[in-house]
Amino acid sequence: MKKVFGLALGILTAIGGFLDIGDLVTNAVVGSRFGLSLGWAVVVGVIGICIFAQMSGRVAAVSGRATFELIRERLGPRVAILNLGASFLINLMTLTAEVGGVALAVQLITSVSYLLWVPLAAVAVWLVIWRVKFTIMENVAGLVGLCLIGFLVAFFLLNPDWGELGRQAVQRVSTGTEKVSTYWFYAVALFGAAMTPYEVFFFSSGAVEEGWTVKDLAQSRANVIVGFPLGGVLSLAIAGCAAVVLLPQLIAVTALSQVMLPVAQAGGKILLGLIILGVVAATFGAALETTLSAGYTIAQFFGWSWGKFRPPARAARFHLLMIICLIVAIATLLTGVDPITVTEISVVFSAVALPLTYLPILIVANDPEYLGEHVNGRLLNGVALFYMVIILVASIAAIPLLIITGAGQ
Amino acid sequence: MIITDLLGARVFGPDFVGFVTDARFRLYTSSTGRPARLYGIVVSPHARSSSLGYERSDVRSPWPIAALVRSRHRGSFLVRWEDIERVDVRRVNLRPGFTRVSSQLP
Amino acid sequence: MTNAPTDHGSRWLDAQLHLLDRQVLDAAGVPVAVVDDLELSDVLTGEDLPVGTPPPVITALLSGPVLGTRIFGGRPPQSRLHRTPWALVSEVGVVISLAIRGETTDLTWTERWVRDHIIGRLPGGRHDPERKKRGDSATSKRGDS
Repeated sequence: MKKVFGLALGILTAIGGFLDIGDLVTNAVVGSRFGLSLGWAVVVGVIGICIFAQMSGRVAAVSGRATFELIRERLGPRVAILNLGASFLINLMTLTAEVGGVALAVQLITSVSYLLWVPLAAVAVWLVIWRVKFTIMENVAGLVGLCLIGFLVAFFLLNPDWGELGRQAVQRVSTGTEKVSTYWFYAVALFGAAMTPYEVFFFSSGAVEEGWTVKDLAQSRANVIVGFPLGGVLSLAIAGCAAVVLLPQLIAVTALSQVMLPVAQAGGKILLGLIILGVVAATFGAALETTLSAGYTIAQFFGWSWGKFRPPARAARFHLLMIICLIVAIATLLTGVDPITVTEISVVFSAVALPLTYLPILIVANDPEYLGEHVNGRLLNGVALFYMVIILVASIAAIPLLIITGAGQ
Repeated sequence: MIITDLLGARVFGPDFVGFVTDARFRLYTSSTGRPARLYGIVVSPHARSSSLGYERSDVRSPWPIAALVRSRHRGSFLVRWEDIERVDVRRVNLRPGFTRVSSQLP
Repeated sequence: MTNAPTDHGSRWLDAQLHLLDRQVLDAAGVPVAVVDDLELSDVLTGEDLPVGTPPPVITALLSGPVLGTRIFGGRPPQSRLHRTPWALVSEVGVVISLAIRGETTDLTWTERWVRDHIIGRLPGGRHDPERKKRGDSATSKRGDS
């Protein structure tokens, strides 16, 4: 059991990274419009995050330096502040969306207006960050979030036509009214969602929070190998459920409740209940991850004391910043903005910030001053360089595609 | 004097030879007070700043970035303090007959 | 980028590569600042240096609102920069460690202000989440609280 808990950081990072409220809906939207023909984008993204999270975890374990600290040290303040600006905005948008997402998910259970839940959700997130120990937080959020496995169960219960799905996976399929540019917009969005920068900021800072050292390199690797592919499989399961149930009936996904339709159809009330629990936990976990990431990036850039392992009084500015972020989130949500739209747009912006985040990781992972003998091998460097090209292409294409397709209309 | 006054300064000896991209110090770890004495300045003919340092070390991975940086800083060299004649605002003059030393970190 | 010691008793440090933008930790391993600039002992400017003039030494680490000027240019007045005398530096590695605790310097003024007036006043603000000391496994780089 202890071994399973040791993997909680990777699982929580993955869940918060690509199974948060925006991605849950995006995956269902993609499934309902394109079937499984964009599955490859998820796979490519998962491999990418595994490679870079592994590197940033190794750097954090061996040198004690979290990723954002490295960006300023290696690339200088100009590049770092650019990255900080982009990352912080994305974190803020995403955490706002997640707090809204928790409220939306709880509304599904209680049918009480979601606006009432918004401040409560934000306060709950704050209380956990303020008081709950990091390992307990990741264990509970990560493992309850695994209830999303219900989507995988539902997928198999729906008796999918494997031949049809296989056909979708290898050729581009759509409902006929979809344009090529929309297909590629969602490909970039799914790739960007899997490789969102706050995942490595959170994972590497979490490695420092847990006090990983050289002895924990194997555990770091295990977290990556288990967590992110699991997240990828669940992403595909959500898309798959939508592909099987919603695509043939041409049902468009516009709300969280429609994401649940296939599950209700497959497994009835019990499975639905499990899923909703998973959604609440996953969104809550994502809210924790993005809020902490906002704190980590700003504190690490300015050299402030940070970390949940310290009493809040010893990381005062770090905690104050996160409180301010949550207050801003509440205020934004109370104006009535739709949290799901917010996060769908922020995913595309993270695609733009990708190169600035992953290049310093690659550079430091080769630096003997930080890693001693644990620097990258040639094979890993080769694959990572290949991915840098993909990342560059995705980041250049993201904004034009967003504009051309009107955010995937 | 603060270091950012020196970094990026134009270097003349007597013609323009490059920009100050870094300052090398020798840290005497066994002396009292552990002084860090300015040993020399790193001059790069084409570029104003260098924060990655590939041109001064033998780390070659990842190769495209190392190659790019080394190309940008080709011809960079170290000038010892003794060869510096004058330090002005954003300008450094070198003594006639100054020696170009390798900027490799030993 | 490697920093191999040469003849024993001295090491080479390049300002951009090893000192600037590095994290500064206090004696307990708590982050206190980032090195934004370096103060050197006085150098005669505007005149030719006589042969045999001794080289300047680093006299202090500078931190403070130099960020804007590092990015855009110019230089803030000396009075706004926090000075950490070089003599207080105990180790230069991936991070720069000081021999004193953060509370004793002006560097951590804002941190202490936020602690005393905001965070410290909230219930549980001073609660230590890691009350049980870590075991005797390999020393992690986190530092104490």
